[in-house]
Amino acid sequence: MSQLETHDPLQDISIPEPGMMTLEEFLENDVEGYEYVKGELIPMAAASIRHGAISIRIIRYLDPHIHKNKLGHLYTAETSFKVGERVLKPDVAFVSAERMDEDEDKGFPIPPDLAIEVVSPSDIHSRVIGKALAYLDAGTRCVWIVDPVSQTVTVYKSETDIKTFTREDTLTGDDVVPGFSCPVELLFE
Amino acid sequence: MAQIETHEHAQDITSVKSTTMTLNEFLENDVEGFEYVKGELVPMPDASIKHSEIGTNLIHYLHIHVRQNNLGRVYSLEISFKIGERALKPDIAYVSAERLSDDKDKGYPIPPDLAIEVVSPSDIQSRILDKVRAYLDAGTRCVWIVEPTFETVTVYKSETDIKTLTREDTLTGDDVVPGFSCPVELLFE
Repeated sequence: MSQLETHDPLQDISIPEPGMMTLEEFLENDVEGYEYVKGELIPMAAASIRHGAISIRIIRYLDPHIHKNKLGHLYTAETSFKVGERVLKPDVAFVSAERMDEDEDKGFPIPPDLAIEVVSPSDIHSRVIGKALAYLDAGTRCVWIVDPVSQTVTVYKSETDIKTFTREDTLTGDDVVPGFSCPVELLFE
Repeated sequence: MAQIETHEHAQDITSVKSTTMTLNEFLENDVEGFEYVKGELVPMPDASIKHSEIGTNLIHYLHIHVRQNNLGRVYSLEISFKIGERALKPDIAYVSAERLSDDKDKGYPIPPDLAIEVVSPSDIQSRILDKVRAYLDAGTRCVWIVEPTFETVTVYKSETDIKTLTREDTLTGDDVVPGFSCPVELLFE
């Protein structure tokens, strides 16, 4: 089928038989382990032990703050969000109180306020970045890309507002998760 | 065989080959399209048109400045540098005048002062950052990772000195390429 002998992983990874699932159908009844991008089901990268441990730490620090201050809710792996023409499942997501959905039996028809992705060992860089861009385009106010190899958190607020925090820095929630702050090193302990 | 846990689909683009070659043998007589990492040959991802255009822009601006000011040399395409236990081939590299090699028939036995990698569509994020760390550990003073999707350049000077420049910013050579400066947007034109 493929005419070119290339190593283009983007071709290899997309599953050719997406059925005739629409984005709305996927949101109502999603497929575990997959995200939905323009009619195609894209498998999510397998998480390593380290990946799982970091996600839990993020939740451990973020959740009490959000709960105590009644800011909204935190969602984790496999919660679907409609992000433009995609349905994505951020590792961790925050939705502010005023934007929460009443129908809790299906995926969110809106993007989260904050999307957090922990980079997996097999994640393709361009795909991680592409996702960050999709979130921002859809209206997500802030994206954190957490990288275990460099032990950094890169905060994307727009295409021209991108900052990388190292283990010497403190990550803050700014106006997205007001009052939240956490030393980056705690996430990688 | 692979050192990092890979996704089943990512495997074919990351498949490495064992070799009996030593690092020094590779530096003297290298294998096109591969880098050398601890006894293994690691294939380099294919470059896209965009990748190549950005690379050419960078070489253009950097080369003019470096030659005009007799600062050293700019290299591109398949030049190997000894980076600790690896032989790596940055997309573009700069070596200052006082560190230039006399033996021009083989790879560099030292790391470059500045290493530049333009991210390819198939590049694995963890591997890019692992390379950045290898360069810095080996003594490279600065690494630029050029990312075509957001049109950014991330400047790594140490594990805790990392800055991402967007198309609104100006890239400078600081103390590594003295006097060099270039608006980021010119690189992506």
